Amino acid sequence: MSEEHQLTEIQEIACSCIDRWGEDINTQNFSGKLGRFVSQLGDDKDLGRIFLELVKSYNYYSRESVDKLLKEFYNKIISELKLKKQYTIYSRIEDDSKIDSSNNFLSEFKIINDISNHFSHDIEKLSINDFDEIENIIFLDDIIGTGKTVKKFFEKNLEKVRQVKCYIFCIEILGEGKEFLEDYFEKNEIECKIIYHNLHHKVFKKDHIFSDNHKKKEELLRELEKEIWGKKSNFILGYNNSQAIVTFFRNTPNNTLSSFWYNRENWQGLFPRNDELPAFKKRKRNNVRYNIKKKGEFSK
Amino acid sequence: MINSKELLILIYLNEYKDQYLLAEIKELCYFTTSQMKKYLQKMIEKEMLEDSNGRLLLTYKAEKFLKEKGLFNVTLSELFKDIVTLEFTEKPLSFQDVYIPKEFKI
Repeated sequence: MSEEHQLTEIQEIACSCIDRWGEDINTQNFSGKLGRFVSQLGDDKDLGRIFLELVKSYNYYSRESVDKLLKEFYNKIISELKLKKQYTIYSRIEDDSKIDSSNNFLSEFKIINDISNHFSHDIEKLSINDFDEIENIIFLDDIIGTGKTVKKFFEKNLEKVRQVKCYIFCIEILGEGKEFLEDYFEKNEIECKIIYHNLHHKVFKKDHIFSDNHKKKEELLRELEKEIWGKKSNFILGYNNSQAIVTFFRNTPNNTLSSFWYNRENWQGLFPRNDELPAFKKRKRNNVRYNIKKKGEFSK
Repeated sequence: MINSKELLILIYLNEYKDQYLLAEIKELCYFTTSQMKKYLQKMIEKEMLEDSNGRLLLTYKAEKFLKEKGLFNVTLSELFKDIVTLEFTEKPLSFQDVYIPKEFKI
C-alpha cells in the first residue's frame, strides 16, 4: 500500500466516522489524529490494518448524542413503560472502579429531564421499610461490560430489589453481559428489564468485525497492549477482556481496548482517558475571587 | 455587566468546551437545577452563550470579553490554586525600616 493511498484511506475513514459521530472538540481534525495514532506502529502494516478496521466500527458519543439518548430514555419511562412518577426512584449502579462516570451519567439524566433529587437515592442507604412506597427502580449506567459489577451490586441489595420492578438503562451493553445478567435475574427471581441503545460484541468475536484470522489478530493486539503496559494489567484488551470500542464525550470507559485510551510517553491513545477531577471538586474556592483579579484585569 | 457566577461559567465552558457537564456547572456555582437553567438562559439572552441543539457554546462576544479581561487562557485549576502572597523582593526590608501594616488607618 503506497503512502499516498494510505493517507487517502485514513482521510476516508475519518470522514465516515465524523458523519456517524458529528464533530466536536474530541473529533476535530480527526484525520490528523488517526494518522498520528497509526503512525506509532511504524512499518507494522498488520496492526495498522487492524486499528483502521476497528476505528470503522468505533462508537463515539458526543455531548449532543448523549443528551438526545437521555431524553429518549426518559420518554420511554414515561410514555412507553408508563411508570408512576411518585413511586419510581432513580439510582446508579454502585461501582467503586468508576464512581465518577456513573454519577455523572445519572446527574446529567436528572438535570436534562428535570427530575428532582427527591427521586434519586443510593439504594444501599434506604431501609427495607422505605421499599413499601417504591414500585420501580430505574438504574442508569453509560456502559455495561461483562455484567459482573451489576450482579455484585444486586447481590448486595437482593432483599430490596426483589420487592420492586427494576429497569436498567444503559447506552452500551456487551452481548455476553446482557445474557449473563438476564440469566442471573431469572435464577434469582429478580424482575429486571435491561433497556439499551446499542448492544455490542467483543471486537474479536468470530465473524463480527474480522471475517478471517480473528484469533491471530486478537493475539497481535494483545501483544502490543502487553508491550505498551510493560507489565501485567487487567486492562489489556479492555477491563477484564471486555474488548469494547466506545468513547463518551467526557471519557473513554476502561472496557475499551486499552491501546485506544492508554496515554503515556511510549504510546498515545486516540481517545485518552482522563481521570483527573476538575479543580473545584478537590479544592476550596476561597481563592477564586483573588485569583481572577490577579490573573485578569477584572478589577479595573 | 457580567457577575462572578456568569464569569465562572464562561471560564469553565471555555476550558471544557464540548466536554462540559451540567452537573459540574451546578456544583461550580452552588446552583439548584432551576437556578442553573435560568442562569444559562439569561446568558443566552445576553448573547454570551449559544444553544446549538442543546449544545452550549461560547459566543464570539463571550470569547472577546474573556480576551479583553485577560482570562481567555485561564483554567479553573489556576483559579482554585492556593494564594501565595509571600514574594521575594530585590530590596528586603531592614530592621531600621518603618513597618506600616496593610490597610493601616489613623
